[in-house]
Amino acid sequence: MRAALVIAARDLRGRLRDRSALVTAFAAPIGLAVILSTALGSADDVSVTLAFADADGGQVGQAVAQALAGAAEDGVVTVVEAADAEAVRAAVDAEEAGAGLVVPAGASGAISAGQPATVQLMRTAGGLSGDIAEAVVRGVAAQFERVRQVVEVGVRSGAVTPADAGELVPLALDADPAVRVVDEPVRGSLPNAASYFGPAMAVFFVFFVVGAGPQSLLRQRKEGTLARLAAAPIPRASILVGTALSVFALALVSIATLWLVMSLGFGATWGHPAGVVVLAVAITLAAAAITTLVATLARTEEQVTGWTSVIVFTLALLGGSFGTLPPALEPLSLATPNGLALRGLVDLAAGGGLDVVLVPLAGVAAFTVVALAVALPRADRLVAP
Amino acid sequence: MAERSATVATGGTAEAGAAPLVSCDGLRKSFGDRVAVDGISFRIAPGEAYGLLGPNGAGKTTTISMLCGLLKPDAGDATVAGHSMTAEARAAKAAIGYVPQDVALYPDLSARENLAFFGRLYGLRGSALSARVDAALEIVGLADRADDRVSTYSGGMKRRVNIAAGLLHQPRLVVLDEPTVGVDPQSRNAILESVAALSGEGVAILYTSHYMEEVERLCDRVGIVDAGRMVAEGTRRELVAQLGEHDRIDLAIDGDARAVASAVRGLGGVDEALAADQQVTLLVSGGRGLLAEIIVAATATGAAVTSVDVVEPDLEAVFLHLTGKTLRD
Repeated sequence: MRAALVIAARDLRGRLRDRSALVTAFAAPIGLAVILSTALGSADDVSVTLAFADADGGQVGQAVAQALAGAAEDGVVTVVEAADAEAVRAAVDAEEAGAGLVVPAGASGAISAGQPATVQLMRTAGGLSGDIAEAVVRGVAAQFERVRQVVEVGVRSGAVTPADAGELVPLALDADPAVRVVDEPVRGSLPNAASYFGPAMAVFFVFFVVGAGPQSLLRQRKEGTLARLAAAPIPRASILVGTALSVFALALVSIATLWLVMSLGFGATWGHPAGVVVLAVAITLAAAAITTLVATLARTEEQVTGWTSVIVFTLALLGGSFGTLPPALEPLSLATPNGLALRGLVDLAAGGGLDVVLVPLAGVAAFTVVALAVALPRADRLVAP
Repeated sequence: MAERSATVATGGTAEAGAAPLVSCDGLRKSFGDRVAVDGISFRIAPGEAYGLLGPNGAGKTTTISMLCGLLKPDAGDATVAGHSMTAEARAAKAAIGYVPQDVALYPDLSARENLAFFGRLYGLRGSALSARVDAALEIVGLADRADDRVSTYSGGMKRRVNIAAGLLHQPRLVVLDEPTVGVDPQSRNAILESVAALSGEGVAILYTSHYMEEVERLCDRVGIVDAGRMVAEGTRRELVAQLGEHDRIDLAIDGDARAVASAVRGLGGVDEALAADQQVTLLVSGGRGLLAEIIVAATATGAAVTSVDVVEPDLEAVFLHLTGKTLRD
């Protein structure tokens, strides 16, 4: 074991010296976290800016302003007040706002006169901001439709005279909606997208980190240092174990980096730390076994690099590292070690207890055992000079 | 072609009567259908410098790889310091300082860091490790550049660190596989002096080369290897004695060297005539008396003889005599 530790220390020192360890353990995980959280973040991370001008000053203008304020409270919308329609148009043209809403003068008067009111929407084609602004207006329109129906029923039934109908409007506007949507947490629901992509990236990236181990052995063979190691009075297995220990440590550091960055920078929740650590160790071992198996089947460093990349990306795709698979394909996800580990990590992030890691852990362990059973009898090829 | 004769002697000269430090018995190794080493046996006494001489591809490196435990022999075994490489590999390896043919160092580490790493693999630690690293650097004359990264070294300096890495644990046997290939003359000389100094300190040396001069300079005994077989073995004197009254004559030719070789091969007293580039190497039993006849035959082909060199019998001539080839074939 001492020889393996000496070899691991040398390997780590070499990786620190050529900066590859810093890239692997810190720069790449942080870069991945930032890029994927930006590119793949879901709607709950979306925030758009809307310009708004109320030239009406009546009930319609107030209703739109209230709806926008509600969206702003949810963090979906940032509202920029503008003086008039021209100012709204200028803000949208200057891309200071993604879209603009203008309630023209007389909108409330039109409603009172039984005429349809108009709200102007200014947006660029296909923009998400415009869709959100339109949804806000449609919500307000639905409110006024309800008011119109209340007034109509009141007047037709004779309970309200047409002259008094205007007094019903604020009451109807303030009334609770007939149907209320309540956001109910369920098992498996995550607080945000970062809580999915954090573990997904960790599980994906660990394969690349660990895959550097067999590549390192092949490079040392090419450079001749493997021959010197093989000539030393140490067990051959210690060369393999030492190299594995080195990349194993790097993989765990890279997972810890992702854990930290995604938690502090992007609000990801990871769940029970012990469960995360156990799954992280398990998937790192599985990655080591699989990449070692690949390396024992390949003949050159270039083959190892190419084959490892293909296998890692295929596993990542199937395992859900780039997003969840359609329901019909979900069983495929659980047929991969990374998919199983990700399932466990996501369940932990969703608030599951340690029991949620048991099945994924058993599955990942089974993959590891099978891969090692095939790889180890061939591992002598890797450390042969 | 005359029938080849081989004298295979065993036992060293350094410590007459002592048990051999190294015994290689019937080593054999094939790669697919190609037999790389075909039953090579030799002994090295404690403190003896032994040279394996042969052209590229003769099987020297494969032999060394089996002796150092890098390759498993198909047949035969090597014993070092009383330990079988097959049965007690770790004990046998501990007695060997292996210097591979290619520079086997980590370029991102300094010479000192490289040596410390390899020293630890041989069980050295603490102050003993530091002392041995310093001593090894001193032996190869690189103490002043010890903390520079190996990637900044010249090829010759890398070779010297490569040798130092094999000396760290004070092995009883140092195995050097073509350590001067591709090295500038100054570094080559430094390497040869280091090896000679080691030999002087009683360390047994196994030195492979296809440079006859190096083996003649450094080694007490020489094994001549060709096509995976040991064709002769002995001290330089013993090997040269096999030539009898033969001389080697080198002709520098301006013209068709092959035609010259063909022409002089038919002369009485010329046992071998080999053409390489613009040179023809002859092995003659008639001595200098044949010179005039040889030059006449050569010029008759239309070529000009630009120089003639009559060489005292040496290992190159022995190799030519035994194999019909030159060492650089």
